[in-house]
Amino acid sequence: MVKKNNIKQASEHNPFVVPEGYFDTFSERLMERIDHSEKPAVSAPQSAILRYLKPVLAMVASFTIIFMLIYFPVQLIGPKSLSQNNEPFSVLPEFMNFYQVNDHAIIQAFEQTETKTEHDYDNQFIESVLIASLTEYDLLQLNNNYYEN
Amino acid sequence: MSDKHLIDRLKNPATKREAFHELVKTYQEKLYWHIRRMVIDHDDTDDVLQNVFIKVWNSIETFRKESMLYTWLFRIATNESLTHLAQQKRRKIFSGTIENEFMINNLKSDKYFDGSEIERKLQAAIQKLPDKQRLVFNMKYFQEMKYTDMAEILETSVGALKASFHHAVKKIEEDLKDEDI
Repeated sequence: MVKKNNIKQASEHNPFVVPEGYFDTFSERLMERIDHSEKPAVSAPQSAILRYLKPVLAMVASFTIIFMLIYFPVQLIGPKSLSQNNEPFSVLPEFMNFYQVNDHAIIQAFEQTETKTEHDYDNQFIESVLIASLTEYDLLQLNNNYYEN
Repeated sequence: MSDKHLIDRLKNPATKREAFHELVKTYQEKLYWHIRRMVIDHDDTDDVLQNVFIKVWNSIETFRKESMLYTWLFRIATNESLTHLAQQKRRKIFSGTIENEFMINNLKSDKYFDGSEIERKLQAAIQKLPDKQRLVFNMKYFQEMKYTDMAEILETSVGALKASFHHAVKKIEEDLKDEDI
């Protein structure tokens, strides 16, 4: 019984207190905070545009840095054969003109090479694989073979 | 002044500020104690209460007149309190504190708690309840709200609230059974 009375008393009295004058000044402090938070919203529209652009710019900059960090080391330390293999692409039109190689000759030459994967691809893809693998010497040989035949 | 008239003035930009000041003066204490019983710490309560009124300031235009202002305000205060507790719980659990233990720690460290040892033990027992059960217990036991009002604020049924309150009382009694009070 004593216990129940103690609990009842404990629950009737509010043990929590507030700092003196808290409720008298609350409204003023609240309005100050509202006014303060509303000021940036009515500032120059430029800042709003910048605010939207900032994350986009940051993302673009990050991707650029990541790309550069990967691209340049690969260029510097990557196998030289990669760049050599690209050569026929860049000089191909000149070679084709100079040696008068046509598409037919290229395909024929391709059939004579050791490449066995042509059945796996369509013709268009085969051409690009072949062209990429040809060197100046190959093209010269092709041209000779074609005219001999 | 009726709530309807106050709402009309709140929605009018010319009278919004003055009406808002009146709204704050009318409801600040009721909402403060509703939040304080949940989050315990005075400084946290102050933050949550300000957030509640800022939400009211920003969204008063969307308030529907058919709802009761009192219900709407208590609903915002309840949601803000529960959100605050969930954030606090995440932070404390991350730092290794057992769930709800931080609420008892809050009580111990609260410089604005001026209760006897019995009151502290009772509050500690209440803090051990799950958040929603504690909310129901506080609203019914300390704030003496009607179940129908509570049902509207918490968007649940009267039956569910009664069951929740019954479980809360049982748990508190169980917790205090071994205490020498």
